[in-house]
Formats: sequence, C-alpha cells, structure tokens
Amino acid sequence: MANYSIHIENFSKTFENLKAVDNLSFDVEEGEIFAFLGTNGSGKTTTIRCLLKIYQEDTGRLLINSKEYNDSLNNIIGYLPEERGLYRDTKVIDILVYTSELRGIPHDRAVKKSLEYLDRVGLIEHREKNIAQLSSGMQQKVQLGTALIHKPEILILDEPFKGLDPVNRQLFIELFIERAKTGATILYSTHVIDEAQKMADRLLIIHNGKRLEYGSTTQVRKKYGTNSIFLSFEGKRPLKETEMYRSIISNKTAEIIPKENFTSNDILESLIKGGTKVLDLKVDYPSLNEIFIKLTKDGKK
Amino acid sequence: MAKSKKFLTIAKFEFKNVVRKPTFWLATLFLPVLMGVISFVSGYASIEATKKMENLDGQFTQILVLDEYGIFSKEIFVEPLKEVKDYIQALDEVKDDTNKAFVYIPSSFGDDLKYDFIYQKDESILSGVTMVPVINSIIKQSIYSRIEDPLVVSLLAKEPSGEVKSFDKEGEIAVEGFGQYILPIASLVVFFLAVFISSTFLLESVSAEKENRMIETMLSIVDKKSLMFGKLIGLVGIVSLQLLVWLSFGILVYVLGQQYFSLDLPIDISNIDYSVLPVNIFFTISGFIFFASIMVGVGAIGTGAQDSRNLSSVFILLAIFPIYLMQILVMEPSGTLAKIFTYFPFTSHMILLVRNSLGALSIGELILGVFVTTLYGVIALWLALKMFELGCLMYNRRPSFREILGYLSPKKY
Repeated sequence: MANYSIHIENFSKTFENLKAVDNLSFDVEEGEIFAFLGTNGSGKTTTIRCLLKIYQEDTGRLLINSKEYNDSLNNIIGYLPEERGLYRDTKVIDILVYTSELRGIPHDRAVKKSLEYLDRVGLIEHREKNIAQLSSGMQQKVQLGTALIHKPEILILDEPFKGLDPVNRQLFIELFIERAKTGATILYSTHVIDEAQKMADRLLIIHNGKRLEYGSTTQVRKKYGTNSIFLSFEGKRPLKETEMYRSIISNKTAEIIPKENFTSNDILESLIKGGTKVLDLKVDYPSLNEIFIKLTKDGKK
Repeated sequence: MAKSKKFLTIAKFEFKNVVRKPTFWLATLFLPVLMGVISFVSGYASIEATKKMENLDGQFTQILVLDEYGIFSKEIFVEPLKEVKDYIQALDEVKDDTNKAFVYIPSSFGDDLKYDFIYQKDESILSGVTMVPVINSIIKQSIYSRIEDPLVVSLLAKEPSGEVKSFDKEGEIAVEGFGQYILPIASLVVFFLAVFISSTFLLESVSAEKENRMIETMLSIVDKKSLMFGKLIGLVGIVSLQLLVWLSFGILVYVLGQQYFSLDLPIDISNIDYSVLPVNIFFTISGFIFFASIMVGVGAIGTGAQDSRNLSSVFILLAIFPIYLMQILVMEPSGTLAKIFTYFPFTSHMILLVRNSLGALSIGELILGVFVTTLYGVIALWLALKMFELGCLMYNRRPSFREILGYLSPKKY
C-alpha cells in the first residue's frame, strides 16, 4: 500500500446554500506531483483551505501525514495561497525572515536561507526594498519564498502560475521540480492544463465540487482513446470543427480529435487537400486539455 | 514551535514594523512638540502682552483727560495724565502726535459706564485695546481713594481666597490641591491613548493584513488566535513606547522649565492617593482589551482600511460618550447617572476609572465593576476572534448580519 502524504475522504463543505465540495475523496502519494484541476469555483481552493483548517469542513476526513492539520505540521508544509499578498511596506528580506522564524527557524539561519532563496530567484539586489516597490512577478517570487524557504516535505500550491509571465512560470516549474527531486510531495491546483500534463504524476479533475476524473496522467489520457493527432503545420489552419474532427489550435501546432467513424488517415488526407502543410505529426492519447474541456462541458450538462 | 514563541515573534514583528516607520515617530513626536509649541506660543504671547500692557502708559508721553462726569480725583492727575477742558483741542493734539492719547469721560458716564479712548494709531494693533484695562484701573483707583474703610477697598480690589480642606481616609484634615486631580487626569489620558491610538493601530493592522491579502499566508503558518493575540501584544508594546516617549518629554520639559524659566507647578504630590492606582491600571488594561478587541473584529469584517475606519467610528463615539458626562460625574460621582453608566459596556471602563480616582466606589461596586469589565473583555475577545475567523478571508465584501449571527451559532464556516 502506498504511503499517502494527503488523504481526503468523503469531504463535503457548504457555504450557506452553496455546496462547494460534495463528497470528495482522493489521496496524494508521498513524493509525487499531484495536479488538482478544475474550473474557477469548482471547489479547489475550498478543499485546500479545509485541508489546512483555514476553513472548517462540514463532513469527511482531511489528513496530512495521517493527521488532521495542526501546528506541528507547519514546519513540513509550504503553502502558496491563491489570494496572493504581502505586507506592502515591509522589506523583502524581513518578510522571508519573519515567516521563517514563525516556522521555528532561528534568526541567523532564517536570514541565511532567505538570502540564498533571493539569490536563487534573482532578487538578491532587491532584498532591502519594500514589497510595494517590486513588480507583481517579483512579489510572486517573494511570496513563493514564504512557502519554500524552509524546504517543506509537502508543498500545497493554489494556482501557482496565476499571473506569471512565461519566464517566471518556467522558474516556478524548476523550483517545484527541484523540491520534488528531493522527495517532497507537491499538490497544486491549476487550470493551466498544459503544465499539469508535463509536470504531474497523477491528477484529479473536479467540477462543481464533484470528482470527475482521478488517476495517473497517463491512465486518464489512455481512458479517453488513443487517436488524437498532434501536428505542426504551415499554410492553412485546420478548422475548429468539421464533420470529421474537432481541433485545439495553438499558434502553428494543433491537436486534432477525430469524430466517430473517421480515421487519422481520413483526416490527414482531408487536411492536406484543404491546403494545410503538415510538418510533423504524432498520434497519441488525447491531451489533458481536451479531456478537461470535454469533462467540464459534460459536467455542466 | 511553541505557540507562546509564535505570539512573541508576531508581537516583535508588529512592533518593529510600526516603530521603524517615520510616520510613527512623526505622530509620536509631533503631538508633544505641537502641544509644547502651542503652550510656548501661548505663554510667550501672554507674557509679551502683559509686558506691553505694563509699558503702555510709557508708550504715551501724555494722556489727556476730559472728565465731564468728575470721576477722577485731583490726586490722580500726575504724569502722563493731564486734565484738559476743550474736547476739540484735545482731539487736534492727539491727531498730530502719536505719543499722545485722549480719554473722554462724558457726563453720561454714570448711566452707562462708557468712555472714549482716542489715539493716533501706529503699527501696534494692541495699543488701544490694551490701554482700556489701564484706564479702568485708574478709574477704580480714583473711586477707592474716596472710600475710607480699608477693608472695603481691599475687598473691592481683590477676591477673598479660601483654602479647601477635607477629611482624608485616615480621618485627618488635609488641604485639597491640584495634586488630587493628577491621578484621575493621568489615568484618563492613559486610557484615551490606549483606546484611541493603540486600538486604531490594531484596526489598521488587521484591516491592512486583509487588504494586503497576506492573511492566508499567515494563517497557513500560525493559527488565528496566535495571530490576533500576537498583534495585540505587539501593539501594547507600541503604546507603551509612545507613553514612555511622552512621559520622558513631559519630565524633560518640566526639568528644563524649572532650570531655565523657574517654572514651579502648584502640585503637591503628597496629596496624590496612590492606593487607587492598581485598580485604575486594571480598568485601563481591561478597557484596552475591550476596545482593542472591538477594533480587531471591525478590522476583520471591513472590506479594507477605509471601510474599517468608517465602521469603527460608531464604537469610537460610544467610547468617548462618558466625556459628555464628565461634569456630572465629577459633581456627583455616586449619582444615578454615574451608577447606570458604570455597568454599560462601552462606558463602564472610563466611568469606573474616574469614580475610583475620586474615591466614589464602594467595595461592592468595585468588585462588581471588576467583574463586569472582565466579563465584557472576555466577551469582546471571543466576539473579535469569531469576527476575525469569519471576516479575515472575505475579500472585497463584508459578512452580512445574517452570516454573522449564523457564524456565532455552534456550526462554523
């Protein structure tokens, strides 16, 4: 039996008349990167807040290392909330040292770790600046520092890529992967599905507080067929939807999802005839993006 | 990490964060400096005006007097006063010479006690106005000189003075002086500072935490109670520092005043009844906890700093309400009104403080007062914690009244 860092069982939460989460169960295994996927308002943040006892659950069990969240777990958990914010008139270094000290790190070590982190993320020259003087991206790096600086065993990240430019997004991914390589467990919520497909070992898709899909990334993708065509193209763009296929197009690449009774060959022939110059192609399981859109659309229905 | 240590880390951070800001020192130093400057300017102006008044008769080389009523006795007419008979001629003389002034006492003086003081105006605004008391004094001297009984002259010239004495707690007769009011006044000042300044700091701190969206990060590291109490302790430190600065400033001014200006305050500190001090300290602390808790709650349910400030004004008004009762309180510290408001949550701390300082609390009332203020403090703290739990993660909106009532029931968010 796998060791679970996080175990959530039959968890429900209602706000006034709104059922935010409905009988949700899932586990996050020790040392894995787990993507918690869902649209806005699907119940991801509520689940995370209840897991960390910021909110009180109505029913169910939410366990971290087999225990309900309590003060003793503070030192092994790093949390990046969805609602970002720091004390605006406080120095960068002071925020990091303060949160480290609250986690029990002695002052001198807290200063050393804070400086190391700032150096790693390229903010060392800004250490004496007030938070308000930093750009939004820089502030996000400092905020991530409050979750990472004590090298937590479990990282809980709520929409970590929200509002990041591609360079900072890549930096965040590197930092998460660095932590994962040391054996840390990472649970992160997102609706940036591409990143989840690249990073996550396993995933959960939630919609309107209910679980729609759960399992390893490969398993989930396999479950939805093996015939998506991923292609790079020039010339005429494939249409968004025809009688033969649907497509998800991003710049000069496209994921073509065949409709029933049409093969990859049929579709490729039709595309080439229509003026699309195919540069490269791969037939694979459908992307998480496609599965996510399909599931949440079906969920709405 | 132990909770107590987290408290202290939060308290230290809050303290350092406020104290390192120039605005804190500006506010802390500005208030006594402002008061000092106002006192200095007012004192200096008063001394200068007195000097000027004393020298005014020297300002005019000649004061012409036309006394149609006959109020002035002949002996009064010594330099610079000179009796004249012709009104027009006197006016002409004064018109041509700024060193001359003219006092015209009409025959109707006995009916309305009105006379004219006429002079050629120069750059001094005060001259004419401040000459009136001098002339009045001359008129009075003239009248006194007609009275033969020196006691009557003495009584007319100055007020009789009475020394107030009363039996103290030991049954001894003691002279009452300003000293006995030092403690009530000091207690009230400290109480006000605690309520208005520190609780306002707390309001700003909690609402800023919410406005900055830092609260969720904090709540993932510390529990709500530790965060709230840590802030409370930190701000007690800030208020203590402010009081220390102001006290030092006051002592410095007093010492310098004595050394350089021979300032001697009419205070007999032997009259101060220090036995009321421990209870006053208790009422101040419980009052601080009560109002600080309210500010935490208000800060947590407001949408931001501005909204919380608006909400808090209702409670600030309730807190200062006893000021309007102060006259009645001092006159009748054991009266019905004082007794009623002694047990009303928002007024009890201050009224108990004043009544205790004036020795107007019986042992029974004192015990009941300690009980109710403790109870109010505990209830306020509990409510503050609940409001903090409810409101701290409600961004951009206030909880509705229904939500608040719902949250106070056993089922939690």
